[in-house]
Amino acid sequence: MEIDGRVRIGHTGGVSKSANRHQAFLETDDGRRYRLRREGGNPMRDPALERLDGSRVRVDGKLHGDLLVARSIVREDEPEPAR
Amino acid sequence: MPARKLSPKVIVTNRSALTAKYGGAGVAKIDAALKALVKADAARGFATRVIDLSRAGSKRKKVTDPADPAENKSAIDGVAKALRPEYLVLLGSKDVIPYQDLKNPLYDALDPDGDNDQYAYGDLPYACEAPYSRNIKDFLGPTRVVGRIPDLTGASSPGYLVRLLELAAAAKPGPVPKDAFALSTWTWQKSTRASVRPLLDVAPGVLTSPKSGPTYAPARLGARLHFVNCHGSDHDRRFLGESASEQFPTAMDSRKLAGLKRGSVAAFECCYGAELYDPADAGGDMSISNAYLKAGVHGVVASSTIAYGPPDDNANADVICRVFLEKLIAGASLGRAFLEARLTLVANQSVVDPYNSKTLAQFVLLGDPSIHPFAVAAEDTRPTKVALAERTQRRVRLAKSGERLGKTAAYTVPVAKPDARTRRLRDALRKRVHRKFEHVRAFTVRDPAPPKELAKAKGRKQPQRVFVAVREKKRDELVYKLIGLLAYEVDGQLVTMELESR
Repeated sequence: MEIDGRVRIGHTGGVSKSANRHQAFLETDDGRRYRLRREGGNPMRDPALERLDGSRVRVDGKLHGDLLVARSIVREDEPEPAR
Repeated sequence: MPARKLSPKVIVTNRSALTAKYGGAGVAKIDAALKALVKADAARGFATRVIDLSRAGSKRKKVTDPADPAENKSAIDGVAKALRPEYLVLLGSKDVIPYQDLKNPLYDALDPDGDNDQYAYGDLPYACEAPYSRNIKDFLGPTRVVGRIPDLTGASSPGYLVRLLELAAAAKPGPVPKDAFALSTWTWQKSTRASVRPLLDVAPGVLTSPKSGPTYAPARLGARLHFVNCHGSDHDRRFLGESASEQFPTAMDSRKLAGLKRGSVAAFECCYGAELYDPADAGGDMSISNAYLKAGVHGVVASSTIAYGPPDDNANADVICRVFLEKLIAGASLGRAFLEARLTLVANQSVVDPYNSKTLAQFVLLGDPSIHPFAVAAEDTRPTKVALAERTQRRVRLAKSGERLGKTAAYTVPVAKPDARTRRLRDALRKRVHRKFEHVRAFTVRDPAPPKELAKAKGRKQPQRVFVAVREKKRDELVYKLIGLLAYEVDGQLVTMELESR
């Protein structure tokens, strides 16, 4: 499936063992929010996704619940400044 | 000569679900492996029956939807009550017999930065007499010895499950281990050392990631006791380490486990270690837990979801994993060791707070619960009748402990709309810690059986409210630390507080 949205780096997991302060999210225009991971990428911290922080992208991937595993990510515009 | 008394063991599965996955020919192979296991069990002192949940029994309805947790819970309760097994085996992954869907008390739909598991999936309710419920508080008193022999979720060939059954049939106790494979993130090594130090006569060394892994010398992975305290992620074949500078190297990889020995046991604190995902959803790679079982490790205790534990101390996941291994080293079966670990986690709390509730619900035993991995020499020399009688007596003791805990353990219930008192306490808490917590969640403590002497004694009362919160600490707009808050309120006073800084 293909989903368009903006990449944001944020936090998830509270104070759990795997609380992730570098979690990549894909936020869609209609308010959906998915955890974003590249296929084979590091699930805790992926520099390639961190570089896309703020960028509008098109993701081709597979959805498992709220986790979107991307086969490909195409940047569609210049990034907004990271929040 | 009177017939030898054997310990009753029941294997439950769903033949319709297995047939849907593997077809008639595949199920025939599983049947053959089960027959061999039943024969092997008889020689070991177990009278094993295989029950098909997709067929009705004398005191239970058949399961019509293999994915329905309530139907499965009811059917398995019917089997347990009718047959009173000393070991209960769930045969199949979560697409054959589902994990139960217990609500995660730490999930807050209003807190996007929090724990995003809506459910703390697991097998805890199958170990309890209480009927189906989604509330963990109904399952604080497990009484049954339960383990799961999983096939691969989504598989179409039965080879993996047949192998696990063959391994179970061939299982024999080995000598008590003298060493362990202990692996930790660099950041959690103090907690990991506290967990593994008491396990063996000589405290095992703890490898840390970085720099260790993901490949290990076979001599290291060949240790028969494994304790891993690393990061885990859903739909991923790896465990990850963590450095002081927040780098997350691969610590373990299910493709790189050459050297694992048959007859080992493992406890993984890592998040999602027992997720039992479909390998097709992870590029064809099975999880580390699945790989361990395939390699002949007798049993693995791991978490289905996001797990908890302090970085420098010992609590939550540390406790359930450590006690499991302690009991195994003392000679317990996999299933009894895990039941005792669950009971210890509950019994050692004045209130089972939301973190420990989730821990209790989410950790599962993967492996045949009747396997005794380690032979404690003195027990092996006793006559079989004595050993069987002692096992029965232990079951009675554990069942009584579980029943007592189920009736007396204090637990927490989320407060949906904080009243004025709760809001005052929350404001006082924020002021007291000189920090601002946006999402402070309040829980009421319910104590079914408050100790009478405490109720009478002036100034000695049970906690009445529990507060949980998380806050980010930022430097230059970047989050570099999380501050966690777990506070207890007793009689209007905040008397215990724990700040967990990650």
